[in-house]
Amino acid sequence: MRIIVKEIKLVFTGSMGAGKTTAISTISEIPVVNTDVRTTDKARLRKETTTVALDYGELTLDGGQKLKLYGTPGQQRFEYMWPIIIKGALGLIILVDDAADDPVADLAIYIKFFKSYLEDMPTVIGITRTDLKQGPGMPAYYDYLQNQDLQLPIFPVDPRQREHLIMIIQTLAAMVEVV
Amino acid sequence: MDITHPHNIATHALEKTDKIFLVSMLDIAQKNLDVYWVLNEDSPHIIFVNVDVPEGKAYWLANHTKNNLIALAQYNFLKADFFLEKPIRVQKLIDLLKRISTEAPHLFLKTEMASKNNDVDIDLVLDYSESETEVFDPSLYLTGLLIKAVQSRTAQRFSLANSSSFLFILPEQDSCFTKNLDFSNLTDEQKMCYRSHIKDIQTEVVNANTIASITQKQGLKKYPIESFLWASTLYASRGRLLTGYSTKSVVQLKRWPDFSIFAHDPEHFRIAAFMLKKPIRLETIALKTGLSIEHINNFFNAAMINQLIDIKSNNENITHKQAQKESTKATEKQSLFKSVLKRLTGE
Ligand SMILES: Nc1nc2c(ncn2[C@@H]2O[C@H](COP(=O)(O)OP(=O)(O)OP(=O)(O)O)[C@@H](O)[C@H]2O)c(=O)[nH]1
Ligand SMILES: [Mg+2]
Repeated sequence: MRIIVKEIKLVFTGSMGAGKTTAISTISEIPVVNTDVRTTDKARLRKETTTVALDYGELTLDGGQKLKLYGTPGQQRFEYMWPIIIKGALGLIILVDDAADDPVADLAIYIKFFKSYLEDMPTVIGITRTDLKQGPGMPAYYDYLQNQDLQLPIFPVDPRQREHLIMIIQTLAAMVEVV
Repeated sequence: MDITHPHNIATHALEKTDKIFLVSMLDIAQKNLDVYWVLNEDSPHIIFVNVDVPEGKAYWLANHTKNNLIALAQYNFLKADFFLEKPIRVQKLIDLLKRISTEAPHLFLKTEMASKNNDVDIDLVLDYSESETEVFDPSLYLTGLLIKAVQSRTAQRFSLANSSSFLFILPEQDSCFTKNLDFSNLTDEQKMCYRSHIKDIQTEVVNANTIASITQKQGLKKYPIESFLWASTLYASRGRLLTGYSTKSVVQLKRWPDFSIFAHDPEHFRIAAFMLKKPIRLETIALKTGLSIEHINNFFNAAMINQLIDIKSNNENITHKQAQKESTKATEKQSLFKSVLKRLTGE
């Protein structure tokens, strides 16, 4: 007999450089397994390395179960992988870099892509790098969500800070209670 | 009453008779209101829209998210937050305008910012009675002082007898100034300040320059006024609901509150999650979260004052049909999240 062990996972997605790898490193108990490579061509201007396949981290829960933490690659040419990663996830965290050129458009890409999951899967949006004060700030994202008629929790977060990620997971947990 | 800074009303698609009605009723209503309202189509704070005619309805649909529209109709078929029944009656108009002043103080922020004025002599003496009531009256607390300051566009310093000044408000910048705050972790002392009764709060009119120099000297931080409308209401409510609402009220959050500017504890995420997804009774949230109804009421009041709440009609479809089917899956997920959080917080 084959025992099917269901995978327990949280998925971090979002635009390039939004902090997915950072977020997973912040809470993972193992060093993040990833395939970061040096960026080429025009992305080079923005950051040194980028994730090509996935980020993977882990957290062992009581009773030995493992929570898996996945980060999707930020570059859109890998978006064929997103549905595979998200299947069966406990929750989805969309990170958006506020300091990017057009962060509201970035958010829109992920909202559109994951639209069909939003109804059933607890999803929280995290706006990162707001401390750099280069972006439009929170009202712009609220306006976008309002125009899309989407009611989703949204926070400014710094993925380097554990408490910020705990806050996001607390919110995902609260969303599960709301059936 | 400060008649130098009226609140402006405009109209859209009103029939002639309704407009005449409105003007004359407003005249009569005026002596019962402590804000001066005038018809001024040029720079309106609020707009009465006749949604019974196609033109008005189209206008409504295009603009209602700005939240400054009042639906005028025979029935509130659009479920508008602010609605006035036709034919217009004085008492209903008075109630409505009062409600708008307390529940939507922000409508009067933006346009008032434009004209500057430093010599407003405002009457800060509010009428209050000490009796502990069943309902929460925001005008008896810092919330009320903030709203008054906003309406009169007066920069002020708020202080308590036993401590130094704790808050400055500068309406022309939509801002308050105070020491650095961590909204996820306010100290007990800070909470005590924000829940103060107006009889304990000294207010002093100051000018913008004074605020600027004190801010610099003492290293104060700038915050949106909403932060303190929220904090004051959250802590001063002490379980009592705003007048007109009950634990049976069916409510829904218009959007996720920006907790980066609102005082909160983790329980507030749970309350917000319940209020966001679909219309729900306040008492049902208490039941489902296991939190006290007082906790829920405080949150509701704070969100209401900040215009984050839609009130739904009581017969709203709040049956949770799928609940049964999905509940096992949900319980499993809940316990998984519990162990994740336990692992992360080490509690
Ligand atoms: N100042 C600041 N830096 C941040 C913040 N979030 C992330 N960073 C930094 O931004 C850089 C990019 O973060 P990554 O974690 O590599 O982003 P990513 O989402 O994995 O990027 P891709 O793999 O390319 O899609 C890192 O140097 C982070 O330390 C933030 O909130 N503030
Ligand atoms: Mg990465």
